[in-house]
Amino acid sequence: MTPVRDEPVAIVGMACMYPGAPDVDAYWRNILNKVDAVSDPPESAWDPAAYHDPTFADEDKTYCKHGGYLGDLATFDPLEHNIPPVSVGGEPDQWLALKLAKDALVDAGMADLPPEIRERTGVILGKGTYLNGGNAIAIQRGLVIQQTLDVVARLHPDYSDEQLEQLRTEMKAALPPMGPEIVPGLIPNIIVGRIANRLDLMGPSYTVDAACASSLLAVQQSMRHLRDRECDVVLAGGSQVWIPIPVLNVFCQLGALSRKGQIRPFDADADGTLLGEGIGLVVLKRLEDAERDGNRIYATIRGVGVSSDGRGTTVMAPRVEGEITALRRAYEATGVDPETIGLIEAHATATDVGDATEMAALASVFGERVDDRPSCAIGTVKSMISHTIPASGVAGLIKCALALHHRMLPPTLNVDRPNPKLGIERTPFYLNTETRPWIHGGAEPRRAGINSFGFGGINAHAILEEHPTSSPAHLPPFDSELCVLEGGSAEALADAAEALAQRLAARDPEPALIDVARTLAARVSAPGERDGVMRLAVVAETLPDLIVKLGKAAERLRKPNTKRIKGVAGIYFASEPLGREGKVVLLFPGEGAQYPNMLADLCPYFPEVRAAFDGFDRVYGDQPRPTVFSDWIFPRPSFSEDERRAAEARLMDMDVAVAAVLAGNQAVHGLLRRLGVRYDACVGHSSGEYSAAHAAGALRVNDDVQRGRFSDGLYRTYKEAADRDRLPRATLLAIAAERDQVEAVAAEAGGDLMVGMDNCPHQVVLMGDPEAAERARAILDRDGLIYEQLPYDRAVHTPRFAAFSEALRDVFTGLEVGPAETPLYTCTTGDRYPEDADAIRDLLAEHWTQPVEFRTTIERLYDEGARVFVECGPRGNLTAFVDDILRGRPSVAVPANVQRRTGITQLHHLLAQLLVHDVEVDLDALHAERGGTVIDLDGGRDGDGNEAAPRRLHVELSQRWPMLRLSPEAVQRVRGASPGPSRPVTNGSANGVGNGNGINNGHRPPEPERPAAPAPAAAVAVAPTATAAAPLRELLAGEVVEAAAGPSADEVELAMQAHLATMERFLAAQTEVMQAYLAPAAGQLHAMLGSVVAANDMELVTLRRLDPAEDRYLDDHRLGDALAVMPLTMSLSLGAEAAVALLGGGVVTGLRDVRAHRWIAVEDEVPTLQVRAHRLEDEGPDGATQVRVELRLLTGREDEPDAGSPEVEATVLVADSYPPAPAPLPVDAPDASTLTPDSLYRDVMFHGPRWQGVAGIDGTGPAGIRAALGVLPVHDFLASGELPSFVLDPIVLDAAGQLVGFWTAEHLDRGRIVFPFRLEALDVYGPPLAPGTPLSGAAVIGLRGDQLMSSDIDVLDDHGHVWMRLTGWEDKRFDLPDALEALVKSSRTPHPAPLSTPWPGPVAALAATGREVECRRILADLGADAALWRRVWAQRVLTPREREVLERFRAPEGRRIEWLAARTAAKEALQLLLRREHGRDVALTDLELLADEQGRPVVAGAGVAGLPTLPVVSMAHAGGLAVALAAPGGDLGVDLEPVRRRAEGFADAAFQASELTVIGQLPQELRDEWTLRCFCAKEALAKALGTGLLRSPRDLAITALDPAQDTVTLELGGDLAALRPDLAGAPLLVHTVRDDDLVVTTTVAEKGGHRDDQR
Amino acid sequence: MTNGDPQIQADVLEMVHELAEDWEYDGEITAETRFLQDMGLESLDLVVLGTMIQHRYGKLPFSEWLAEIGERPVEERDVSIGELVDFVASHLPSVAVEGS
Repeated sequence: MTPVRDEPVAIVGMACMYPGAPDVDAYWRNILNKVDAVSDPPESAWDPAAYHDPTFADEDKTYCKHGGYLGDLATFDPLEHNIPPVSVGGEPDQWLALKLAKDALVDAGMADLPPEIRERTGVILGKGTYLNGGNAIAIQRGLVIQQTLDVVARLHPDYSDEQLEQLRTEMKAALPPMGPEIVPGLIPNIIVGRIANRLDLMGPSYTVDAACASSLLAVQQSMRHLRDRECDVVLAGGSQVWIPIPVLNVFCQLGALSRKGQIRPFDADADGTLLGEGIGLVVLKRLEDAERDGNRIYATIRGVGVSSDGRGTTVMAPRVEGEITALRRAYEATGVDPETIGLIEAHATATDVGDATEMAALASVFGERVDDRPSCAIGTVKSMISHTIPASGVAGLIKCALALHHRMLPPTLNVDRPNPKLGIERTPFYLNTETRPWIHGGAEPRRAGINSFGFGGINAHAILEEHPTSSPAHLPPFDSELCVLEGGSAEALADAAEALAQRLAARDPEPALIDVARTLAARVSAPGERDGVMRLAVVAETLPDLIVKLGKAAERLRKPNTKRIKGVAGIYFASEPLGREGKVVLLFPGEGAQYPNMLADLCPYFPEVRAAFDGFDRVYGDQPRPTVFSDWIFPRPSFSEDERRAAEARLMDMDVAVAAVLAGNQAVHGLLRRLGVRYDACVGHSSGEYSAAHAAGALRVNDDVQRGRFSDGLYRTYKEAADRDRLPRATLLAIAAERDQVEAVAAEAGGDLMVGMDNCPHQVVLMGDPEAAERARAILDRDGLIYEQLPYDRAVHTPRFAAFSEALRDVFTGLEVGPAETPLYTCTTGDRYPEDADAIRDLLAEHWTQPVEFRTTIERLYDEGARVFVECGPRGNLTAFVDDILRGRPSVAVPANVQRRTGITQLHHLLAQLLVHDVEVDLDALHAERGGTVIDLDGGRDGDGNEAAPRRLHVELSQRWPMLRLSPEAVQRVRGASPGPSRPVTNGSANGVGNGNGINNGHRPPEPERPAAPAPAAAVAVAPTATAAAPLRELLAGEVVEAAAGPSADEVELAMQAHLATMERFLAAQTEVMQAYLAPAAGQLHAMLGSVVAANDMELVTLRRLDPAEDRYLDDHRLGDALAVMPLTMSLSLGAEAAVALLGGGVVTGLRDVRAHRWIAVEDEVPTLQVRAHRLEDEGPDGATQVRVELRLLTGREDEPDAGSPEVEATVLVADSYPPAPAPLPVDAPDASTLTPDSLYRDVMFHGPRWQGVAGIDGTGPAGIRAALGVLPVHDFLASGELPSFVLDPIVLDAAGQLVGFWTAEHLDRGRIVFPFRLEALDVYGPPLAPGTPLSGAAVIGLRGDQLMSSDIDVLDDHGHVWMRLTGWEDKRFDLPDALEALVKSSRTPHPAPLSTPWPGPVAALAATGREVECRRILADLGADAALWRRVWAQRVLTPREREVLERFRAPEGRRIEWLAARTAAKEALQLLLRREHGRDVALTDLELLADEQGRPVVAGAGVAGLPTLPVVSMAHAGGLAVALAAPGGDLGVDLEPVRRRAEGFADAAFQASELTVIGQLPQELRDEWTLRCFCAKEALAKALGTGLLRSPRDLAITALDPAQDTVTLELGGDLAALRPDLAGAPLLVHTVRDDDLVVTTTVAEKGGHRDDQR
Repeated sequence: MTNGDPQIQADVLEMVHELAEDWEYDGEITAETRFLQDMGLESLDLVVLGTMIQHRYGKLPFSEWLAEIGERPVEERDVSIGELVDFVASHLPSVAVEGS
């Protein structure tokens, strides 16, 4: 196909990340809000201490540290892209570019491109080959290390070869490895290759480097591929992530960087540029394809012109001829006239030469300024984000595309005084320093030009054009939202407001305010359905603001006799809406209402507003007037006070003033019409009468021809009158007095004073010649009447304007007029307009000679039933007049716009008042295209199947240089390499320098896989959660997980396994070294401490995996026979072992300050236990050495082994011998125990045989217990058979503690579950004893309040001597709810007690039809320590895969427990069913509940293996209760809802009109409850059909209710009917039950109650 | 600016209340509270308030004062309660006219 050379290309998608802006939304918002995103380098970038030298004395540094940095924004979620987290390293830009490429396609609505398009999709990115992390590493490893060694060797001839080799090793260790990660640094094209690879794109993919012009060159190439038909889609853009120091340095050498650290393009004080980071990407298609495919088109690119400088002065200086050539080529190739460009995004780097050259080139192409009227805005986004070199062109391109898309002229920053050397005032350009609407009346579309000029002399200029059909995207959010509630009474509204406030406050995460507003708007009742409805309307800026205002509103509403709330803060309510009976009048203000920049902030949101101004510009543009009309309303930014005042004054001149107010009125009227505001009459004040006549349909200036004639006529009449001096002047006095009083003043003053306007009781305007006015002033002062001289000087609305009026009559002769369609009133007569065309024309002209009888007219309207007055124009003066006129009478007047509030906020105040007064407003139109969504505001109900959001993983991409820096330890190792051995210490503050113990291993252990220094962009910040990524792909019950394609989970797991294997090898090697060191002193390290990772005289650190398969003793210490927990006493014994190992011998004589902070519980993941023993300086009692021991569980935090407080800590006392034993404690335990040796561990305690150290209870008393104990063997503690011998017997210690549990079981009714957490002191008086040695125990037990116990316990040998004493052994006490007490009981019995209870009620109706459905429920309330018991519970009931789902289910604890409870009830129901139907006895953990694609639970697991048909279950949970059904087969559904007050409008939101009719047929008292039953019925049926939650309420329709049978009948519709044709059209029954405060619904999706599930 | 005469301030607030009819301002009212920006009144309301104040206290140079305010830059064209109270206090006729 022949390429079409000037074929436009459409921008259909965009994505970017620039300083301060993670995405396009933020980028645009920052631009409009003038955010300066330049900063110091953040931590993640470079270190100023190393490279910053403000004096530039060191010419290899930089004098400028400011720039545009991405910092924290540079993160990447590998899981989202199906990439193993461990692969994310190397250059950061490749990952960010991939993310943005995907985002751009999503933005274009092309997330899923068909293969034939992907095959023809290209990727072209601008990217420089600056020094990056990869090649820095290569240079450092390849050159720098050897060079450094040479330098050191020369400096230090005394260094031995061993030391130098050690130094080499250490330097290498300090740098990231030369792994595959550095490849993208060396081969820049990987950046696009990765995008093509991950997104499976097969068009050309390559990078282009044209320095600063790179992005636009990429765009030019992309357009060629599109025009050549080689590609159908191209991703184009540029990337610059991390600022290379050498580039900063070169720019400093050239003097190009700002010494001020500011980038001030075009400013007189500009002194250079700043460099920055960023990436931008656009999705390009041929325009015709984009239009054919219905893509959203941000803008079109007409063409890109490119040139080189040729032979300029130097290769680095810009050349004006080169730039001109690029511009000319662009305009010539596209045929676009430069005059039609309204916005230039300048290259403008803020260097002297650069800016001057650019301005000269622009001036040459665009010509001179005409009529002293600049026509084209100029600026640069570099003033906000700095210069992002190859990514700068696309930054400008995206900015301009958005400017065209939203018709806004974006501001440029940092211009206080334009650089006089540029001569901007002679060009057509003006520096646009403010955010302004882009008003445009030209015949050609809006257009923008973008300059991008690269170092080395490569120039590009792109021309963009608006596209007429594009609907807005990336709109900045409103600065406030309008929230409306309805209710039948003030009380009901107060309830609703409070309930909403509470729900909003409780929601986590906080919902978006826009969504709340949108959701409430969707519930506003339609006209005709609002009898008796009252509304509360609140204007809020933030969610907290809304919550506070709802609370205040509720408070006010509860006060008796609150009839109306009209709060300045934006709270509105009216018990008697005035708009229901009363008429609504639009008031149009006249001249004087206009003000500079009026309505500007509404333009981007409401095209009607902007279009009104566009229209005026258009008709002005056709007339020979040296002005663009909108320039007066939206004055160009000026740089002096004089300019500003002149612009303001011009807006008050009569010709401009009248046109401006008419434009403003029309803009507001367009807006009110868009929003569907109802009005019954129109009236205008002074020249506002033309707006009123137009709005009412009497003055029909509806097209450009008529409008042009009208506008031109007004102007010519004014001009001719002004030229002939026929505009009589006058002084205007606004007097705060009644009309007759004012007339009396006029009479007394004499002369030609006349009343020109009677506005209201406190404002009558007197007009006359200055002398007469002066006399009137004296009288007014004398009489104490307040007056004000108005800033106009024309005697309008007096007979002196007769000539003007007559001339104007001719203008109206040429205009189309007719009877008003909406009743139209005139202030000339105080009556309605005539219907006769000529009479209308007379009146339209005549009003200039007649007083404005506003007061009379408003009184007339009031008499005729008008109650609501809306001021349809800028400023809001008339509203005050109406308030003054109707003071004390029921009425409401409100302006659409005021100067003191933003346009949006005042609009919300207006709509709020209209809504509370029941004036029709179309809220959908307010929300259209703003992106808000309807959310579930009733809170707390998520069905099974949509709870857990996929977990996010954010890998921080470092932009920091790899530093060749030695740690203090490394320095020590190098220094010590030759003479002595090294004793590596990998952590802690301890000094690990060799101590000359004779071991010289001469080599270091293998390097750990993770380098000591952060890799340049390494995944050092991979969250610990990364290890759990593997099972993400599983589709498990209760979670919907997007199926991952390609490599992901498995690779992650493999990578993690490889990592762990390396770690193990490392640990093993290190242990060998350590053992060698320890050997002479301490002998073999205790097997249960594992490997030594660090050791010296003061400290020992060991690591060992806690694996239930090896650590068999854990098996006998399971809470509820489920959750394995390390006994506290075992932790203490291990601590004692570590202390002895550290000291190299001695006996343990005691413990002090024992604290257990958290459980050492072992679930599915095998954790690592770290034991750290640290010798203390101070001696303990009896001269014992004290060693502080800390035990930490390093689940997934091996990287930070010292993180957080330890799980258990204690001080161990070690001495040479045991101290003498004291006298035994007096223990009073006279009574016989009811506990027999058999029952001890069966009925009371959960300990298994290995921990059953108590042989029998000898006696108990109110505060004491005595028992027989015994020393037990430990030969089967470890599966490996290794025999652990303990210096401190954990079993005896535990048995001593168990005495408290036995005592509790006998003496306490409540709080019978006890767990130790603290021990003040343990004293040991003798060595460990052989197994079988009989002992006894005696405890004195004291209760401390309800929740704590403190005991002193002696362990005595068989001679009655104290062998061990525990002083201050403290336990916590608590209870489980009765229903869940089974959790602490053994689950290993054949039939463990169930946790759920049968609940036949809800399935009774099903049973009556012969179905055997099991139904069980659980009260899911665990009270204190819920998280622990949830773990115990999960161990008992769930499979490992199910537990993972629960683990990842981020929700409040209560919800997680409900989720677990529902599964428990379901499994126990299945147990019964399987026993009944198949005679199988199945353990709960042999049943697994998976979810199918729709989220419907599917039964799996060994328990149902081999069954011909799988049983089915359905679950529901709410309000702390869970319920589940199980049946042999069929479609089963259950739902559960607590009966509580629903938000107002619940029914309307949940049901369609036909359904409301069905519900409405019930007696009143049943309706509320049945509304809930119906809702619940839908949920149950939807679950039964396996479609998860309803997609649309239309999918299920309620057709009948039978309160006698408690049934709801429904029919399928919409998608559901298509999905289940077998059931479509048939009535389906759902059974409902009210049980206490719950509604439960069950169904087997049967037709009309007849059994029909034999499918 | 003085601390304001408490009696005048009470009177002014009462008149504002009367003037505002059903408009509610639920923020704290202090001497710094501005009539237009904070309380949402219109400039005409200031004139009406001036009329009411004169009704109670007698003739005051309101017109000149309002003209002065009108000369201020746009964003400062407002009056605070303290300002108004001070204005009344400093221009109070030597013999106050009680009622009418």
